[in-house]
Amino acid sequence: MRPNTGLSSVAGAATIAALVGFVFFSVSPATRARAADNTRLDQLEKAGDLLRAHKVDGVLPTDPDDAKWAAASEHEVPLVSQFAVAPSAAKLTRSQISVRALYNDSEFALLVVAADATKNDDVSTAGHFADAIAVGFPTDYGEGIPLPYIGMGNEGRPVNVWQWKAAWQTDIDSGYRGVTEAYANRIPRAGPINYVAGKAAGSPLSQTSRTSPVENLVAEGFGTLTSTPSAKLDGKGIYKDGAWRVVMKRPLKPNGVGARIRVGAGLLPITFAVWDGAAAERNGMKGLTRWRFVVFSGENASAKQATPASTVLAGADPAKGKSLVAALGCTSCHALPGVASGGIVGPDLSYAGAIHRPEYLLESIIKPNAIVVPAPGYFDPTSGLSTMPSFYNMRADEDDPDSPLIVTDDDFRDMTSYLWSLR
Amino acid sequence: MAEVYNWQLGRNMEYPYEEHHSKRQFAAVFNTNRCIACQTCSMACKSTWTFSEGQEYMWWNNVESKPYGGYPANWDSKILSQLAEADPDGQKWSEDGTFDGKTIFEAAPKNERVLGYLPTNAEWRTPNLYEDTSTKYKSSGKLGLADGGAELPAHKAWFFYLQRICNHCSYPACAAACPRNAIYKRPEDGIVLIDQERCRGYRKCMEACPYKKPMYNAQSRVSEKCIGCYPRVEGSDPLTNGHPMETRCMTACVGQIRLQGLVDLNEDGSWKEDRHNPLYHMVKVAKVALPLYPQFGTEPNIYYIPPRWVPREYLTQMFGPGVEEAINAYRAPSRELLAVMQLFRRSQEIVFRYEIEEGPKAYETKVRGEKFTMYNDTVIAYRENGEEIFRTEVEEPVIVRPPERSNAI
Repeated sequence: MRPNTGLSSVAGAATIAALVGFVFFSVSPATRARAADNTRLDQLEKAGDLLRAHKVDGVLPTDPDDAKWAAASEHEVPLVSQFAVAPSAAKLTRSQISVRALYNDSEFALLVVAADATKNDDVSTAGHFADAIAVGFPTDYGEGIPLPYIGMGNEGRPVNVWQWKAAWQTDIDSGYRGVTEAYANRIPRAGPINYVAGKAAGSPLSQTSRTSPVENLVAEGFGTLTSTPSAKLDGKGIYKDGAWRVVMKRPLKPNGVGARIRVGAGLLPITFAVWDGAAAERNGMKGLTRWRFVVFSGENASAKQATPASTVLAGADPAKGKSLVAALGCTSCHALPGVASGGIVGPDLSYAGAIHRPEYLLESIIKPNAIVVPAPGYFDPTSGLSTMPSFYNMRADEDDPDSPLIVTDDDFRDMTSYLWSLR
Repeated sequence: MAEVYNWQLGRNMEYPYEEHHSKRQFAAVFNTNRCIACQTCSMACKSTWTFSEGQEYMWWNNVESKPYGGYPANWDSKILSQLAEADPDGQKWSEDGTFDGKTIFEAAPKNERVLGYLPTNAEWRTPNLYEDTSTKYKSSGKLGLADGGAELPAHKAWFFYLQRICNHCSYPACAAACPRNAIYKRPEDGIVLIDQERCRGYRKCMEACPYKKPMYNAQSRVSEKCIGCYPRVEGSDPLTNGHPMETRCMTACVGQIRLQGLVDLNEDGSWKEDRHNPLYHMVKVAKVALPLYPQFGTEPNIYYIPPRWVPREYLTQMFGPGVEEAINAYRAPSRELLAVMQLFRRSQEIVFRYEIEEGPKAYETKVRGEKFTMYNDTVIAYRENGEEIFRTEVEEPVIVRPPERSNAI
């Protein structure tokens, strides 16, 4: 028997209704809103979805070893290999970083610590790739604004990415490492003519003098990542004791294109990515994590924009979801741990909950075409549509509107709760 | 993946993007039989495009000694074995010339768009290692010569020179693999270029291109490749007064083995019937020139007249079916083909059309038991606008040294 889920179940049903285009109206008194915010924050925190940013006086530290970081609470964030779209890692792996956040009236800073057995900061030969760490924000966010697709965002929902690069850090610490530096014993160049096409074309990678190891980028879907210089985006990375300790900081208001960080106006959605140069990781080959939320301590901001998993999935039963997933044939395309033999057409869902939020997971099984990942096998390049079928609103007898639904709203939430449990 | 038609495979194949074709395609014919490996092409390219920092190891044009030489080392045997591993015993052509095996797109693992590998630094270091290594043969004779000398049609001990530039493929693997859409194929001439501003140095193109022609520049930290000398092809080199010109590697060819041009394409990517375009004649009518490793599936646009003396099995692996036909067409060329082959390297300009004026019979002989007659025809080359570029005869003119210079040497 399904437990009586009461109000929460209504909230879950409202999520589905909102997804498919119905509008729910609800009015709450201000006091109830405050209490509701606190409940939301508690639930988000329990699910590991909350990062607390601490306010400090004075300038925010750029040095990862600065004593001010001790004031910020440390959050563990698990990452899994990006596996939705090629190129991706050959094998799905899970890793972990720790994150601290500080802010003051004008700036926001993050300290990311990522374990890495080797320091890879050299890109001066074709076979070498360097370590990197990135943080992503939606360029626009707030109540009623859906989160962008994880990583690169999607059309109409752009993301702002700050990418710290080990190679750029070394450029700053000890000068640009080009071929002259990489091949110290080579015969000096003869002749004055030297034309470096990338530099001439203005590629940000080819610039031999730089002031920040962090690149400011925007993206609005796979393949659209574009560098947009931001003078005030700064940072510093130190490799010590088998780990990178990297600070990235920026004024709350971007100096150029980027996400505006609004302290005191809700939660700040945030995501992270890590590249291991030793494993030749670059582009989509990276560790990635789902959207989380930064809450600014001491600010009495609304938490309404973030829906905790416990609300979306209130009363949902992951065990029932697991058997539904098997019964509906999801495994003919998807790999799922412990459910028959997984197919390889669709994305491997072994860590679905580590990389996606429950509302996205729910949306993706109800409306596979809401966000289409353009990857071979699960995307039809002619129609631009997902090849995944949806059982939403499908009835046992398609000619009889009173016949039972093949998959009910509760079934969808059960399946989502199973996927969410895969973390 | 989308379904696209690859005429070199005689079938549809998978490709990450929908089928689109340029209006014209950059293409060339290389006659491997005549190459002397002087590397003038390589130097012409290097002194024009890759003389700067970060380009030290780059040879957008290279000439390697087959079967063992290669730049990067072992590039072709490596990708061939990857394909064989992905499709054991399946990499075959059927009787009707259709390729039944898997292309590099079809054999790609799920986490990649293209099957490939990133060459090691060491592999890039040697432009033609093992160039002087011949194939193995049994010999009891002195000087390592094969018993009974060379045996035709294929020699027991053999090697040949393979000239390589970017194939400016119709279905480029580099463009398919680039996660940033930084690689594009120009609609006007099909030349494939890397956008130097958009490239982020991921080297997925280096990994994916089966011919290994995109190269990472460690100074600029982005990748570069053969640009098909596009300013020359556009006609913006002042030398030819605005008329399209062949690339540096083509025009520098001492052995006169190369002829490059532009072929008009139909909307479906097939070559427009253009009976008097020399490339159309050689590839589509005389069928004397074949693509390099068509089974990779990229529809490469450099066509090779296969070397006559090399075992057919090896050549079929390298150039696909049609090797015997191409060699026969070359060994005893038709009257028209012989005239067309005189067009090689008489001018730097692209020949868009030729006409033949018939001349008298020059001589008669037997080629492999068959009667062969040579005529001293005149072939006339035309520009795009119909103006004559040059005319030349099948028989090379005999220049007699005047008596006052008879002992000049």
